[in-house]
Amino acid sequence: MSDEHDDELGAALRDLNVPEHRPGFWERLERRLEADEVVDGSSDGASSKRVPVLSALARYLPLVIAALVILLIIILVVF
Amino acid sequence: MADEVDEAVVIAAQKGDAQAFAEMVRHYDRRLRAVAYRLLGDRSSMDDALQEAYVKAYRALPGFRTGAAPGTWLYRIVYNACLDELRRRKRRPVQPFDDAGLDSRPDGAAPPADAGLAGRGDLEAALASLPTDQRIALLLVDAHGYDYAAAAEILGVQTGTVGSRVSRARATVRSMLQPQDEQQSPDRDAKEDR
Repeated sequence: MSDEHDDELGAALRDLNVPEHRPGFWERLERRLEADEVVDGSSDGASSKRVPVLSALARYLPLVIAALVILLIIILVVF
Repeated sequence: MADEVDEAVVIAAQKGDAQAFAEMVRHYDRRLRAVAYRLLGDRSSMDDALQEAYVKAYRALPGFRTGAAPGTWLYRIVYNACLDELRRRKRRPVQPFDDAGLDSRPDGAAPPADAGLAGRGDLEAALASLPTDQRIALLLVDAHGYDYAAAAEILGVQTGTVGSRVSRARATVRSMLQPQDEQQSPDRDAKEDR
C-alpha cells in the first residue's frame, strides 16, 4: 500500500474554515484539570488515570502533618 | 507528520506541569479543532468533545510512552471523544453550518486562489456527505499529512483499510466537485468541432 497524498485536495481541505473555541473554553479546561473532574471512561487510549485523592493528599501532606502535631501538643498540654 | 511538540514539554506535562500540558494541547489544537468540527458539524459539539478529550489526555498522560508521537496519541483520544459524542447525541448528518467564530488560516491570510477544485462551500458539502470513517481518513492523510500507518494507529484499523477509505473518499469528493461543464465537455467539444 503506497502512501500517496493528494496534495491539491489536501491544500483545499486545509483552507476550510475552522471555528475558534467558544469564549471561556481554556478557562473551563483549566478549572477541570485543577479539580481533576471524573469523566465517564470510554474505549480510547486514556485508560490510566490520576488518582485525585492521593494527589490531593500528597499536595497537602505537610499541612496535615503540621496540624496533627499541633493537635497532639494541645492534647498533651491539656491533659 | 513532523510537526510534533518538543519532547521536553511532554516530559514536563507528564510530571504534572499543567502549563506544559496546556502548551502541548495548544500546539495541536487548531488541527484537532478541524478534525472535531468536521466530524461533529458544529462548534458547540466540537468544544464539548475537545473538553472531554483534553481532560482524558491529562489523566492518561502518566501512561504515555515517552518517545512516541504525542500528536498521534492526542488525535486518537480526540477521535474517540468525537465518536462518543456522535453516539451520545445521535446527531443528524453533518452540515456546513454554524459559521460563528470561524477563523481563517492561522496566519490570517485569505484562502489561496482556486487551485482547480470547486469553491469552499462545495468542498465543505462534499466532505460532509462522506461517511465518518472516510471523512476522518481523508482529513488525516491528505489534510494533515499522516502516512497510512499513523492514520491506522489513530483510527485503530489496518493500514489497508485506511488506504481504501481514503481512496473512496477522494473519488467521492472529486466527483462532487467536478464542474458541470467539465462533466459535459465531450458534448461541448463535439459542438465546437462542428
